[in-house]
Amino acid sequence: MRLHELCILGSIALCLLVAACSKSSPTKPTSTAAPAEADAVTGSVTVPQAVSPAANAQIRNVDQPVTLVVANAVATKGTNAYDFEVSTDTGFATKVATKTGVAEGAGGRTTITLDRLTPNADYYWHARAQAGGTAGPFTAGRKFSIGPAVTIDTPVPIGPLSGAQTSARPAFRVRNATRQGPAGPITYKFDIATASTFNPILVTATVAEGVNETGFIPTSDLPINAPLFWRATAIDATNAVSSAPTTALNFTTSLAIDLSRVIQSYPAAPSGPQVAAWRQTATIQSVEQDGNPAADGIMCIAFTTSDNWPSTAFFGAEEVQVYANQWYFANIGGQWYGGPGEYLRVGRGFCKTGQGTNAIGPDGGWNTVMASWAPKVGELVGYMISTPARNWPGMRTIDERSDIVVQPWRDTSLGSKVAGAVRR
Amino acid sequence: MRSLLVLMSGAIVLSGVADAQTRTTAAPPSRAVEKGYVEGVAQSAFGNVTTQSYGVELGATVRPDLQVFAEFGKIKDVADTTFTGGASTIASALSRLQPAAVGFSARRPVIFVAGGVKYRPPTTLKVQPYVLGGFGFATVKNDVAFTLGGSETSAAALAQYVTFGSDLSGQSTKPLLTLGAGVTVPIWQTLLLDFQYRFGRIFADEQGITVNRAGVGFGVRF
Repeated sequence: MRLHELCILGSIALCLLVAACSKSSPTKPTSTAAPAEADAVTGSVTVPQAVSPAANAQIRNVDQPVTLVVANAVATKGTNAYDFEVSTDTGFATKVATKTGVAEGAGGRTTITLDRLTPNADYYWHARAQAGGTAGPFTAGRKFSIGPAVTIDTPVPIGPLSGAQTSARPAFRVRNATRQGPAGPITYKFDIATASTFNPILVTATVAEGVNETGFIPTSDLPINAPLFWRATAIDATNAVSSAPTTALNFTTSLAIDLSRVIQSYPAAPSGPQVAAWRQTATIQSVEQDGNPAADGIMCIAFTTSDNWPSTAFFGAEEVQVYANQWYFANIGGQWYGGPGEYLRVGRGFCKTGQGTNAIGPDGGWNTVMASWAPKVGELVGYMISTPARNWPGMRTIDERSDIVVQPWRDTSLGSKVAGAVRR
Repeated sequence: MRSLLVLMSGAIVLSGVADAQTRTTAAPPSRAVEKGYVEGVAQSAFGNVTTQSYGVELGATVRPDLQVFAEFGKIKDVADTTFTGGASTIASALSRLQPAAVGFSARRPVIFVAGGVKYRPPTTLKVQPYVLGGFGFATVKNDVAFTLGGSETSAAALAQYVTFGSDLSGQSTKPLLTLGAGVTVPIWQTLLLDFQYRFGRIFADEQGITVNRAGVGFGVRF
């Protein structure tokens, strides 16, 4: 029996010996981010494939944030989650961005978007997958570079400045914006709106940068006598960088009159373009009028001249010397009509009567639409003084003129308020 | 298979009963008394795959109808579809990750050792039937190899493409249950043939491995 017992004991010892050696020993250690359950079988994971950015990609700073894309890895167990690392060195010792546990994307690709990276620097990125308790190998590090930052300062407005009165087509001008970094060609976007919020924008235009300053003149009239706002923004389209817009600058268009486009409404008078070419040697100081017949339809256009305007005989009457005409301009249906009105006699001041609301048109000897013109209270009417232009060129002298003043029509019989009496 | 396990377990229990009986009744006078045996075994193994197994079995007689035995052996491959499928998956991925043609082999050879009892019911026949049951341990090796461009590639070279988990690499030693039956045929003097069947169950992680072996042993009694 001793032999039998030895055999049994031997078998038991053999079993214990083998049991003591029982273990799981992969040929390669598996580095796992999450510790696998003891004795659990871990899966095998391949490397994902770096897709984007391409190796050595040059990325404009404006194109940040950078998106990293990998083709999904393959795992024998579980579902992949991905780790992305971005570093400033090839050894990934100085990581500037790390995203772990990124869920696998659909369509065979997994994508992450990085936070903005410091511009003008080189970076390296790699990624790996984890699944089934195993972290796969990292992709080879790929380099990409972020270009330098481009900044553009706000351009400085030159004009029209806030509160300015302008013509219907003012020139909007800014001093060219200063910039930092390798900026591309700069353009300037001018916005004009009826509200400081620039919503809606009435007119917008983008123009190339000029020398030292850049300007824009609208190609059509802006709304007249309306409060308007403008601003300008410098734009680097190459780098998709814009400056902040200038502050909103308010201005008001007056009903500016372009003489060259005025339809002359008096039969025997110089045309608009002809008058436009006359030297402007006088300046209107004031226009005071009242269309109230009870006030005689008084019209006083005070002016000064830098030249000596000669007089001429009124239709050959030497005793009646005239040296100037008042001009009136009416905006009818969006078109300026105008012509010379009353003569001014030497030594008789600058006021004329008979220019009542309902008389100025019919009594003016106008043709076309101006003959029936009866200005409404508040309607903007233009005024000018010139050397004799009525019955021109018969009574022609030196063909000079004043500027044009536009102001609302007044008629105290229709409710206009006039501060004091009209100065005569 | 479950019924087979029940039958085997029953046989072992019966052997205990028979053992009790032999303590009260004398063994047949014609029965030859042997101290033990040793034999080499060659088997066909089938289960997940059909392959070969070989080993050595030895035993010692405790009583005329009861022996203790130990066996050592190697089964060439017990890879299942999960294992080969995993290797195939990695091979497919490798073909996308690098330009060379990819080949692979995936085997799970097993080295095992087990011990137990063998019951040999009394018989008047010249041949001796038996049933046996035992426990032991099996070391299962995950033997996966890949070729790139026709050349076998080292694990270090593959490391840039794949990290292998314990599903496709390494080895593990796990408990083994073995049940079996057979018949011993004396052929000349002390030489014998052992026509045998063995059922084995390796209690591997997550998914156990079943392997059946059927073959013949050639040995000697002493």
